[in-house]
Amino acid sequence: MSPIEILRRPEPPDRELFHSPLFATHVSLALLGYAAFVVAADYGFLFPARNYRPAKIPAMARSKSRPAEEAAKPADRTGSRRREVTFLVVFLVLLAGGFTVLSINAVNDRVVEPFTAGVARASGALLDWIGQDVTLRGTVIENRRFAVNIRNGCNGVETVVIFVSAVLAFPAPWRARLVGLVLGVVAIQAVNLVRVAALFLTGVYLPDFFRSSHTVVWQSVVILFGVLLWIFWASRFAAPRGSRAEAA
Amino acid sequence: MSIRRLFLNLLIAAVPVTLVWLLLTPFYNRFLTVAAGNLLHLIESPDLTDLVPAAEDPTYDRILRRDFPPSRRAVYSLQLNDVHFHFLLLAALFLAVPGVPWRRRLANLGWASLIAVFFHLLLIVAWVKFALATQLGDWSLEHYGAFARNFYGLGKHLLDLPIKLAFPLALWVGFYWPLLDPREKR
Repeated sequence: MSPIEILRRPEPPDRELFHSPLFATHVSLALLGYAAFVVAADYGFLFPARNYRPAKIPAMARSKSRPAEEAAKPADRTGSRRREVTFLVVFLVLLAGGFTVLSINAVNDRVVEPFTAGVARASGALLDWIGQDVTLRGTVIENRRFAVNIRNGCNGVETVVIFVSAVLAFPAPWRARLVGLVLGVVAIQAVNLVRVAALFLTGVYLPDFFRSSHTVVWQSVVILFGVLLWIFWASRFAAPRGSRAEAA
Repeated sequence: MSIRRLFLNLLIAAVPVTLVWLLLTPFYNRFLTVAAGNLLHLIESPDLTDLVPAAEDPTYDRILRRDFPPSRRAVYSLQLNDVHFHFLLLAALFLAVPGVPWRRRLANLGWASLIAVFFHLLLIVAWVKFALATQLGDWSLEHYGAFARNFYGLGKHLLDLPIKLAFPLALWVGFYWPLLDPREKR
């Protein structure tokens, strides 16, 4: 069966084999084998060590300002590892804390819902501007052919919280953080506005694609945008002044 | 690290990654159903919960309770594609890193994918426990205390939103921190 035929199938193949516990056992064993392969590859059992070492410290190894040997000092690597772990821990704590606060009913009712209604109004204005003739009922945008309800998850708040947590957790001057936060949040909301309008148009003109477009395509696009924005900020604006020219 | 190169690589990587995800999704959904079902059988006592693909849409899993009357046996459903769609971001980000040998990128992606599989299984189990603890009205109140309901509710909320959505970024940073660390750039 060709890949195109698989893609065109209305539903995935459902074989008796898949229902067997033995199948799960085999797949689990295959996964373990795969894990063993990855571990072996990672520690250079399968590949020459020279392919492994430069990739582990690419930024340092490529630096022309000092030799790679000096850059790869164990003390430096320990410091880098410590900063990395600190970033990840602070990032996850801020992320979990932020989402926990947002899940409190009072915060949801007084902050998130009014904000979502604002997103709906802005999206409605954008759709009106491009001639969709929509009306607004709270967070519901509708016209004669389609209606969409902007709910939590569609208001861009998730991506904003991820971005804000990452910016605050990254070791950078506060001024750079502030600029990153303001510009980043505005940019993410602008992309989210495009997402809501695009999803509404998908619902009107290509209703069959609405669900996958909603859950997979645009969700991925908005999060990816937030991630790229953060990588851009971290590598260009959060770096100390003297290192920017080199980083560029 | 060249951001322009990263962006271009992302656009290029997104196409094969999406194609692979589309091709593997039916099989991966099936694997998740069977593996998460078996995990539930292992951890539940009494073992009465089953996971089966929904007949009308196999991208959904139905949660079945064997101790319920046949007409009410299907108690909840969850969409599997929504559980693992972030793999698109993960794979595209890992393959797009400029200046790192391909072999290294693939090895890192292998590690990240492996971690993702375990995360997906954990997320499905969290969904099931959330459904049983909070979504079945009187039955939930009778079988789960206030702490358990809040624990599973918050746990599923955190796993399904912030952790799932930030998963690609967190792993990417874990593997490619030296590209970002300001002190290493000096």
